[in-house]
Formats: sequence, structure tokens, C-alpha cells
Amino acid sequence: MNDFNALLKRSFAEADEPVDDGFSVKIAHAVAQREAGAQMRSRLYVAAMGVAGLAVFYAAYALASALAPQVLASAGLEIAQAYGALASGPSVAGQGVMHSLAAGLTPLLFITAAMAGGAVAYRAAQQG
Amino acid sequence: MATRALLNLAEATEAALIVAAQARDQAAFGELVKRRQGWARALLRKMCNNHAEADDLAQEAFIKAWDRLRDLETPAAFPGWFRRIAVTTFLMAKRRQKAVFEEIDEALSPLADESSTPEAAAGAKIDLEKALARLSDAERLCVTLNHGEGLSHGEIVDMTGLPLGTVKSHVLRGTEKLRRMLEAA
Repeated sequence: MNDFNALLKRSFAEADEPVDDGFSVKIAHAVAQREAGAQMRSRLYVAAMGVAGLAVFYAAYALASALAPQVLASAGLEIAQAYGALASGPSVAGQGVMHSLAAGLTPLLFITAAMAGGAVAYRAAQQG
Repeated sequence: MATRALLNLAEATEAALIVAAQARDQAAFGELVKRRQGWARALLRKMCNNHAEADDLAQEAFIKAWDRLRDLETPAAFPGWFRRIAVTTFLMAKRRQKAVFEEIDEALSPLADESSTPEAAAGAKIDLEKALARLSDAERLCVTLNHGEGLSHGEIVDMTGLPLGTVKSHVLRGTEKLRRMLEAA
């Protein structure tokens, strides 16, 4: 059996290998097509991400345009109230400051959350 | 492409070609295919018993190799790495064809009749391809990997996912069939 195994191994080792009858050229074509397809997909992806980025930017810009006057007004009011509170009695004024800070921060938080949501969606799209 | 400029493909070592191909150099990969196609197609032809199917699977395996080349850690591991891809491609094709690898069917492969076939009397040296054609798909796979590629039973288990006992049986029965063919010659 050992002699036979040796003969078998030799037969495997000596077996003819097929000549390259255009096989490697076929592979080269297939690989080139595959790469061209991958490049096309990559360009489309970059373009799609660009469009998505522009859309997010435009949405953020529109939101900021709509909310900016209100935010600035709130901020101005906060500063005025804080200044007034610091100038007057500590206990009542302190409560007023906290209330108005909470009201003024709402739009800021809203914008921050929208930006964070956009960033998460962008990252998820990139990973996907 | 920087690698390609420095690489004389015809004289480059296989390791250099692999490194360049990992950098997505198609010409280097083409040269690698040229050098390895004979071995890869011969391996799949022994496993498949059908040249056209074997060449299709070899093409599929090379394209998978191109896609996954970055996963290859060292160029020296290429032959074993590619062999695994080729075997997996073969097994997937056979599974698509509903081939059964785990059953050892005594009735379908009667050893006693092998010695009386005309192919068995062909000559003192084994006509390997004809002899392998008389084995079942699973026997051919296991015998080729064991005797042809020098893999141990454990390595075949690792590569094919077949149980150890099944691999041992296929190797033993396949080898025994081939021995009887030779004895009859």
C-alpha cells in the first residue's frame, strides 16, 4: 500500500498541467471589467454623497435662517435678564434666569440635535 | 501603479507580483494568473472530472482571489490560500448541483467491478485522469487533496468542512479503488 501511495503521489506530481490557451487573457478581461464597474460605482457613490451633503447643508442653512432671529433675540434677552438678575436680589432673580435660560436654549438644542442626527445619518450611509 | 512602474513582470518573483496585485495592479495579477493557471486548472480538473466546468470554476476562483487579495497576509501563503478558495468554489458549485459529499454509498461504487473495466487495463502507469473519473465526487476531492496536494486528513476537514471520519473513508476507499485499477493493469 505504501508503494502504491508513493506511485499515486508521483502520478499526481507528474500529471500534465493545461497550457494557457487564452485562459489568463479571459481572467484579465474579467478583472478589468470588474474594476471598471467598481470605479463607476465608487464615482456614483461619491456623487450621491455630495448631493446628500448639499441637501443636508441646505436644510441646516434654511433652519438656521428661520431660527436665527429668534435665537439671537433669546440670547439678547438672556443676557439682559442675567445682567438684571445679577444687579438685583439673588433668590428671585436666579429663578428667573434659570427659566429664561431653559426657554432660550430650546431652539439651540433643537439645532444641535438636528446637526447630530444629520452627522449620524451621514456616518451610517458611509459605513453602509 | 507606482509598484507597477518598478516591476518587470516577466522577471518578478511571485511574492513581488502578489504584493503589486494587492496594490490593485491588474498587470501583476495577470502575470500571477499566467504562472498559476496550470496548477489551478489541473487541480480543479482532477476534482471536477469535466474540463469545461473546471475551467469555469478556476476563473471564478481567480476572480474571488482578486477580490480578496488584500486578506492574504503573506505572499508565501498564496498557494494554500488560493487552494482553499478553489476548493470552496468547487464545493459551492457541487452544492448548487445538489451533490452529496457526506454519505458513503457502498452500492454506487462497487469495488469488485473496477478491475474488469477496459480503462483499468490501460497500462502499468496510472492514467490519473481516467482513474479519478471512476471515483465519486467526494472520493476524487479527498484523494486529490490528500495524495495530490499533500494535505493531511485534518487539513482536508478544515478546508472542506466534512467530518474527519468521512474524509478518512473517502481517502481510503478512493485510494483502494485506484490501487485495484492499477493491479488489474
